Amino acid sequence: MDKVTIDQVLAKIRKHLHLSKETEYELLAEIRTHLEDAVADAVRKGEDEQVALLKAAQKFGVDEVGAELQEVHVGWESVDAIMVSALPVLFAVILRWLAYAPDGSTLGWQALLVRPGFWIVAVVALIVPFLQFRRWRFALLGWGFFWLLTIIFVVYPSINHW
Amino acid sequence: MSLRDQIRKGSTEILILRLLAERPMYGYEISQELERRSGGYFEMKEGLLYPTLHRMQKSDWLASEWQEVEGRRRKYYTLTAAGREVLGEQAAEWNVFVDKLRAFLKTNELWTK
Repeated sequence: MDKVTIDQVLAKIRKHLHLSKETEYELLAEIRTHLEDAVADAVRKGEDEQVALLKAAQKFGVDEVGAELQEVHVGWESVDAIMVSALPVLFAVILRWLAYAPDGSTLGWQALLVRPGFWIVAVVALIVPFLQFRRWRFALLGWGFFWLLTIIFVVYPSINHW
Repeated sequence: MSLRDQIRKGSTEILILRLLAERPMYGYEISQELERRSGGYFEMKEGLLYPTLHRMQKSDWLASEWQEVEGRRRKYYTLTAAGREVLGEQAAEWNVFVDKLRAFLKTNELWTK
């Protein structure tokens, strides 16, 4: 019979996971230490390493845990994604409102840059994703993308006007 | 699902909160402590401990941090202030439940006849 390894056990759990690489890596690292601890304990008590791993995997409930973890984390990531997308859009809308007067006239980029309101919104838009989101790289990407759109659609027409 | 499994499932959170109220612990340590302190009564599919821990962390009852202790890197869970509050509420509720149930079942002559 072929030797079973911890990597094979983890691969079985991984089959049920469809999360970000970062999340999957962290989940599997935690499970790996659990299985290694269980095997080490059993070996210390005189059990064969291979038997110990099979018992540890059975006691762990390999088939159920992957699906359960997926269920717990998938919702979390969706909420994050919505928040990451919604916040920059909201800030972009506020910035647009700051750049355009209510009567529809444009302020001009020079006037815009000396407005405290513009800078307050810009700093809040920068800080909030970093404080709010665990996956800061995703937040930064979303933030950068919508800021780029803001600059293109708000500042570019002002430059042309000037 | 047997009655014991149902009770165990319903009490997993308070057991974890109670253990972590003492000190930070990692997953394997939590499962071992649960088993040791209950003489095996609270033994569970160990893997199912992790979805519960992560769900509790999502609710901000727990915080976690990877730490290296004696050359082993492990994820330690700690109780947050919100978790401590929940522990107090759940402990009070469980105590009421146990008292009421015990009082309700006190007269056992109905099924020992």
